[in-house]
Amino acid sequence: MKKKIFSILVCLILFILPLNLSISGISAQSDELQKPTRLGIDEETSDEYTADYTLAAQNDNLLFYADMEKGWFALQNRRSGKIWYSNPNDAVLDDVTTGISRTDIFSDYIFEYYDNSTVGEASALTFNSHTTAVRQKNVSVEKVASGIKVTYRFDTFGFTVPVIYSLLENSLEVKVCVDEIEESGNYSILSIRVLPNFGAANSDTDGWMLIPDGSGAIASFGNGRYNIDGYEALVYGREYAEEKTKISAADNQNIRLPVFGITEGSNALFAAITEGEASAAVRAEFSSDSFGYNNISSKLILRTVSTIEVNAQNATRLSDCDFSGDYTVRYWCLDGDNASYSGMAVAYRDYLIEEKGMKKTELSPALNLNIYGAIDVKANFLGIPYKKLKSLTSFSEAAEMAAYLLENGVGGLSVRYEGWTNNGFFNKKIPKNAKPLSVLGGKKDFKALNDYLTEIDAQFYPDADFLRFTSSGNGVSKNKDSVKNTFGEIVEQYDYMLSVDVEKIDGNNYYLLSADKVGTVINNFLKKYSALKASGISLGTMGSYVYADLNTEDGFNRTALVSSFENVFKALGNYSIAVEGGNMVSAVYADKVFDAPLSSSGNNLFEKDVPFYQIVFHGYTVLTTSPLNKTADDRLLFLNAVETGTELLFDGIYGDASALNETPYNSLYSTTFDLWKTKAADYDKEYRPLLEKIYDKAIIRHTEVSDGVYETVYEDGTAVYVNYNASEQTVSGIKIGGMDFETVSR
Amino acid sequence: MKKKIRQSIAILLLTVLLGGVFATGVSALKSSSVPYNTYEYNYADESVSAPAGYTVDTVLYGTDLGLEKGSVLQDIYCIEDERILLLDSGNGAVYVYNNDLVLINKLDSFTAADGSPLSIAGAQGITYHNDRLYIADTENHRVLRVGMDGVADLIINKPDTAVLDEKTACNFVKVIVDPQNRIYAIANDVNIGALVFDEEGNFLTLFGSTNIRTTAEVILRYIRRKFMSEEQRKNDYSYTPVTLTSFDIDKDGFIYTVAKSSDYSDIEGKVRSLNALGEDIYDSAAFGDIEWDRLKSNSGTQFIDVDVADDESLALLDSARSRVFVYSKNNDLIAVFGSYGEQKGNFLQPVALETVGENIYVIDALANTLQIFRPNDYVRAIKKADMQMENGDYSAAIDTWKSVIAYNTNSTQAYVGIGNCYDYLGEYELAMEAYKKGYANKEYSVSFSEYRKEYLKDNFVLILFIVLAALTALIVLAVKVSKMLRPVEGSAFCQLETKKYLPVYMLFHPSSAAEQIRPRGFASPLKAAIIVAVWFIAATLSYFFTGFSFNENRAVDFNVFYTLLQTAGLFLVFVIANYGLASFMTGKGKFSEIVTVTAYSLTPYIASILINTAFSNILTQDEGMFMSIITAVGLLWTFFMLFAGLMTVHQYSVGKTVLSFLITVFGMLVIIFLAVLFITLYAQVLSFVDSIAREVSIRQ
Repeated sequence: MKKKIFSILVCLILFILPLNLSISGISAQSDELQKPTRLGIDEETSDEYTADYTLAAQNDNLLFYADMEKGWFALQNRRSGKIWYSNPNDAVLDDVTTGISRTDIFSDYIFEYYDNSTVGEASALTFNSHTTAVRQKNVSVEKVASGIKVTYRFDTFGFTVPVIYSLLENSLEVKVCVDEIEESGNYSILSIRVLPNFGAANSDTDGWMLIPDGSGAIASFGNGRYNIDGYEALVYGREYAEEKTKISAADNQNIRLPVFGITEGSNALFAAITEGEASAAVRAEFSSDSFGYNNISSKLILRTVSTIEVNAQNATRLSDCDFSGDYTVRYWCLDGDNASYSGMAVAYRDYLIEEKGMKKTELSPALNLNIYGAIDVKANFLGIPYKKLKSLTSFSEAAEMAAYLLENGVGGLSVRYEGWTNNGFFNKKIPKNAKPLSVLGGKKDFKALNDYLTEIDAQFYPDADFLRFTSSGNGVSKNKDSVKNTFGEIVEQYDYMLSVDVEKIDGNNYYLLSADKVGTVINNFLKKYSALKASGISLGTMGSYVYADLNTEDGFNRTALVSSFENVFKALGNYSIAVEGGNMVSAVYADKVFDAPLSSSGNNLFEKDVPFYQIVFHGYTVLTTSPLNKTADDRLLFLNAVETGTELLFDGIYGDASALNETPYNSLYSTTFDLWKTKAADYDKEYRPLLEKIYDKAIIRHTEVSDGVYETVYEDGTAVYVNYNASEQTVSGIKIGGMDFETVSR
Repeated sequence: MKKKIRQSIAILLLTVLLGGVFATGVSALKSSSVPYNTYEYNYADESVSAPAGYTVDTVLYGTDLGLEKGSVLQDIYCIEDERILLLDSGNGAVYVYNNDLVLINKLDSFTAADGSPLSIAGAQGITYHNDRLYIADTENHRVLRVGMDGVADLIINKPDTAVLDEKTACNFVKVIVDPQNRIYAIANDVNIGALVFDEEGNFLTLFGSTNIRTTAEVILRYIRRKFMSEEQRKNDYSYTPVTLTSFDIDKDGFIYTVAKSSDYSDIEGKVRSLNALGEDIYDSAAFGDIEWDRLKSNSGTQFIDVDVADDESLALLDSARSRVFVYSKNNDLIAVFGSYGEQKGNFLQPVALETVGENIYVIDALANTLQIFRPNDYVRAIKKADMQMENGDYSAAIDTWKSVIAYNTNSTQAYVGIGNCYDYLGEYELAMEAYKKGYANKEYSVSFSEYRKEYLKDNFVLILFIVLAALTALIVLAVKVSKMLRPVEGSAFCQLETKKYLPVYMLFHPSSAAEQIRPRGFASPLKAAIIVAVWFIAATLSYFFTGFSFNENRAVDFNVFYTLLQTAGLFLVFVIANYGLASFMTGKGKFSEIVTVTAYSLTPYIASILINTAFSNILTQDEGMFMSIITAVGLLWTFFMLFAGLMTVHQYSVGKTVLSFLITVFGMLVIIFLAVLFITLYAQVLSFVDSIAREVSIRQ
């Protein structure tokens, strides 16, 4: 009882102290600041729970304390005084958490491993750094430049894992030295949860987590909502190298940016995975009746183990394309106004500008069209079936569409053209010759379209897909160059039935191209493509697909694929590049991201969606919405676009889409140009004055100013208010109509 | 007065608790994307993508609803779009909200009429009628009728009736009340319909027991029962396959029931609309998902709740895939939404739904949420068009249907709707065009009939001329043929009895023609092959060019191999079987003769295919009989020729010919069986080799 009162008191003091400091706005000196301490420690407390924090590194912004025996650390923000602990400093007082999770709370690393001697179905087992290394005093800590190096020795399993913490100018970099990890004996590490409890907060704390799902979402602590197992998702989406015969439409958004964050009052800890992010997952846990904390962290996946059934027996194999190199995560301490999702987004944007060379956009604002050229359909001659290319929009028709929109007041256009070469919209072979299809008008009409679009100052992005294919050819072999599972079997990517979510019998199934081929096929293609004199190129799938090849002989991991993508993007410097979906690695290099995420997948744990993604990229990489003519509620999507400065997108074919009813392309059910052209022109008219003003301005702040009314402030002072309510609202003297927006210039 | 005070206290409390942030509940979500597949079924019963019909507007969690710890939402009822009742089976309480979902009353203690306390346990159903609540108090095996003050004035327990055996506890799960104040209750351990009580709680009857479908099993059972003793029959009665899961009543007193089904393929009769006599006016229409994966590993749709809206649209809740299906009053599927999942708009364990205004409210017992789905403009347009058609405003309805098509060019119901409108307006040609796009053969045929009437009127002279010309040509041909059939002077044969004209001659004199094949060397495998080729072409033409009124074939489904098997394959099997048989039955026919006779005999049947293909383009479905007659004539003629021809070449008696035909058919079956067996074995060997190879590569 006494212990409890004491701890509450300490909590209160700790809570009030930094608050006061930050409110008074005085930049505190290190000696005036609170020192890190662990709570609830008395004589009876076992040694394994006590800590002795010493100052290990410091700079103008941060103080880094470490326990030189256990490897625990505490990071202090000098401006606000807030201390972030590697694991909660009140964990001894925690009386909620039960079972194995109790020691997990004290652990800085949690491992999943695989016992190679297992017979039968493979299952991942776990252990944590507290019970397997700290308790045995098998942790060695040494000082390195501006930080420490901690080496854990897990004797039970024969592992040695070194990590380095170093202070950068305004962040802490955590590096797992994967190449220095030693493994021996019968065990293999599958994954490492890195600092699962860094910044973790107990259930009474007032705060929230930034979840990078889709555009970003916020999940408050202790909202009491039912969930089965917190949130965990792979960065850049699911692993395609694992066969999936059943899919759920519920996974409709991926993690596009490798970031996460946690706040406590007016302080925030924001993290970005800066190396090896493609091989990571982000996991958030929420306090409940049996778990006392809220935490969010990343998990590095070193390798996978899979089991398949052959002749009624299980076979198990580990992947061999292990992650190599360093895995690094940076943590920023934010406070005051910056302890918000806007502040986190700004921090990440600054990082991308400095480290990835992201630049301001050079594209003028446009209404975007995604045009479908030709499709491959079944036909028959006197009952003899054959495949033929059917034109949905020819080159001259595309020019006609552009001309119509221009004549009807659209101020600028951007055209992405899918299915203009090769086998039309859906690849049979990987594209090679860059020959415009004759069914669409051939090279002559293509050039005419290119010339016309150049003349009217429109952007032109002919799309080519270098990742998906169905048959060998053009220098690619299906057997050799497609993605395989751990058993060396080709993994077929299925088309799924909408009703029951399982693979279709006659679906458009395909294979994915191996990472080592990606560069070569694109180079070959570009040699021919350059003759067409188009200034832009769209590499749609390279913005949305990330996968490994788990084949044990010539496999590659996700990070290897991403770096091959990075090389491609860098080599394409002369072209204006467009991608689809916009994973971070593509979005920083691309000039335009089609169908950028505007919402999260809406997990019940999320309180609300936030436009984190848009704040990061607006003004730098141009983003578009999903097609307005395909959404259930285009006014809502339009307002989402206005709220975030996102450009509008329409999906179009020139002819009547009802002709596609019996083809696998019946999802183009709303693309008929005639049926949406007026709407597109109207929306452009409504949006353009604002877009002209803000298209190249960074967003500095985004907030919900009152219920259903959002304010977005740009670097030039322009503020946009969007009202999602049906009725008119007034916010700080500005009247905003129902389901409408208002612009205020400064 | 007391109630008022309690209400205002509740409001006050709620306002304090929630900090007055949401006077109207929780703010709406602002995303237009949905976490579930949106689809419709096309005319071939395949799912095709469609725009989202409904989007989740608001999700209310336990804390937003003011629910206490341990609460489990089980049922929802809306009182005339003004108040919402939620039944919490975990704590045995009823929550009352206004239509802004502000809590205005909470009933958590109940008393009997004599003042003694009552508790409800695991209650699963609630309804409201004439100021009183009806609660299916499941675990106490009773139905309570309570006032809004919590005092029960009627308690219905398991009725004392011979229909229910001793083992049945009567776990009442759902309850409704009809305009005559009769109380209908479903118990999950009673599988012979709902129990009906009068307003005093006296048991009246059973209602809506599921019709047993006439499958072979049922017929067998029926026969078996005929031989049972009275005692046995009574015991046998307990066997009924389907249990009602929920029901709803519309303003006209029709009761809509949904039932659980153990068979995945059972798509009919799951949803029924019953009139007062208990007759199903849906007549076993199919609802829910009507396709499965090829492994049939998914269970079929399992409806657990139904709600009929004021506009008579039907909302159905499927617990198998956590999904809601919405049907228009014409039984057209207009939207599917929801899926299993932890996202807003998805469900973990949906248990009940209710239509409130144009919105659909769904409650989830595991996530403890109330989700509000609002219709999108797409669905609104469909409903509007239906309404306009009902009011006879067809030209307006056409425009509305066209706006539906702007959202979804796949929408069959929009094309059919436009077709119906044009048909009513007398624009038959336009109606036909629309019906064609909507794959509505029957409706097309009706419009075509009208169109043809007009066409005949307008072009009477031309048509008359064509018909007369055709008749004249026929007569001329007949005369010519009959002339040619007469023996040529100085010869035993007529003009047609040559190798060239033998197929024509055989049409009229099969026996005589067959007789001449061997002595005069008339056997012609080449001509036979040509005729069989023509058969194949005729079958193909018929597939593609049969008039739309009669043609339900899809171009994409055409299988050239299958058609080849059906024509040339069948021909080959027949001649081989017949030739093989000849050696056993001392038939004299040679293989080339059998081939010639069989092929020549096919000409009337092939002609009937071609004639029907042509006629199908000018006839309507009502006149389909005419085409059947042509087919029958063609078939009979072919059979007669084949019979006479083979009898002659084999030199059989009539009896022997009949026998040889029967054995030939048997022989054909044997050949087909062997072929199938061979293919299957071959496939098995292949898959065996394949799996060995796979195992070797995996276990290396």
